[in-house]
Amino acid sequence: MSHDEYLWSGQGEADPLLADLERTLGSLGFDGEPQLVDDLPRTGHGAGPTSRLRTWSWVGLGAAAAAMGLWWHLGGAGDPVVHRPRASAPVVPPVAAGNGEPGAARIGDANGSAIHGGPPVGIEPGPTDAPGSGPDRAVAPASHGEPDVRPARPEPKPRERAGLRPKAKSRPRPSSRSGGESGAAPATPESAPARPVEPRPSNPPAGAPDCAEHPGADLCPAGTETGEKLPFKLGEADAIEGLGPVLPEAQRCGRRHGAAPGTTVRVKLRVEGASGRVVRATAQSPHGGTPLGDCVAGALAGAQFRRFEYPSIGIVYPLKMAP
Amino acid sequence: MDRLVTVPLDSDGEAGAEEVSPPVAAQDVAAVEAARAGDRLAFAQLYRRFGPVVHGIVLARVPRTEVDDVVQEIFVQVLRALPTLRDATKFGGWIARLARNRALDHRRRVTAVSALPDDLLQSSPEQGRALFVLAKLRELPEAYRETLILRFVEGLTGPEIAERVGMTHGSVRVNLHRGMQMLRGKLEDGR
Repeated sequence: MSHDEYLWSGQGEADPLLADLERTLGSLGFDGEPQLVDDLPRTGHGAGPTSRLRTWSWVGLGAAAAAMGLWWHLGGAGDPVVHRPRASAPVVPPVAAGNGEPGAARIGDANGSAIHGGPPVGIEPGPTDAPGSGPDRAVAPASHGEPDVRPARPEPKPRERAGLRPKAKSRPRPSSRSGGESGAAPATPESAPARPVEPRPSNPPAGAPDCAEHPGADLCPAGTETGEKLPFKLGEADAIEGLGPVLPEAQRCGRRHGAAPGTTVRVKLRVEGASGRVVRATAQSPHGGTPLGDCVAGALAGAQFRRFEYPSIGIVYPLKMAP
Repeated sequence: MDRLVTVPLDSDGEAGAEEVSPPVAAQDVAAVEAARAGDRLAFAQLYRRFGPVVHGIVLARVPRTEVDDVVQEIFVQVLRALPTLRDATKFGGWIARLARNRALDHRRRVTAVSALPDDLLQSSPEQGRALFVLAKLRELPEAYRETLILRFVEGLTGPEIAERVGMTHGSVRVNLHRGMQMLRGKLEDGR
């Protein structure tokens, strides 16, 4: 009963499991300083000393909007079809309307490239744009305080609409960040094709048919031969359990091939549901085809997951080299 | 919610008493009123007080690496919708409901991805263990996992959960108890 009291109020005698859960899971909690609050548009009182930065960013936005309007008014890129003003563009707070002058233009220039160089918000880059200024910026992720210049975006994100700092994406996208990996340089060029690694022979679960050699639904009625209730797919916990035993060997690849600590090697695994075995492991760019990538892929190919109903699933696992 | 248990329990020696959700604390009511009038500091105070609640509710429904973005979106929505809240004492239940709806919207929008998040199974064993337990926790029914996440991940006590989410003490107590029983079984099965 005292354990229940601890569960309820955090006081009294702690069940070891409860204390362990608190300690373990506490690291995943909210770490919230109100980073957005200082950037929110004020709806009531006048500006205080802490809001100057926000005010200047509004000034910059106002200048950008004014420049866009001028650009549109003067003919812009020359294509009347794309010059349709967007509904979201004129939404500028009053403080910016009165300050969209030369000084504000400098601020806007520093904060974002919507005034000079890149195309204005929501407008396709025209033929008069400086080479390389428009499309390159259009695909780049928005940075701090920078107006979004992606041309085809229908509506800004809520955080951008509210004048908030865009947060850095917590998950880098491999397709747009080829240089995002830190640490050792790859031994071969990034364009080298990834070589799939044949999985090592591993022991299938007792009583399970070797479905890697005998594929087919009839031969591998996953779970039915033992009456086992299988999950439809693997969950995160299953992935952790399956990959855990082979991680030390994968980490040794980093030391063996001189990878700097923090280097991330992404490996795509194809896991077969009927056997839970890895049937294909491929290191992804920039480590595809490199000795390091092949070594890590080979190590992860030995993972044994629990079986599941779905024929097969793909798992992309980014292995970060330990210090 | 799958199961939101609302059985009144003898939580504080008041057996049989009709349970109502505990009202939001007076300081929170004042902060809500001030934030509605445009006071950003008051809104910051609400953010600090209710950030863990929103974070926990979202974490129970959304992949962990996307939680921070969704939390930010929710607070932007809160700022906009705050004038529509008639009774400031109901702020806790209101923001919890808003967070649940937003998290479900997000889950519907995002298609199923079989890629694991970047930080899964990093070299730190503690981190790996935390993610494993969280994954097990997320297999529980929604009401249980939300309450347990608020308790263990966000570090709120039962009374604090009840106050800030707008649930009765009995509901929170039952969710904690039954959820913990299920989680215990899952952790024992998993090891």
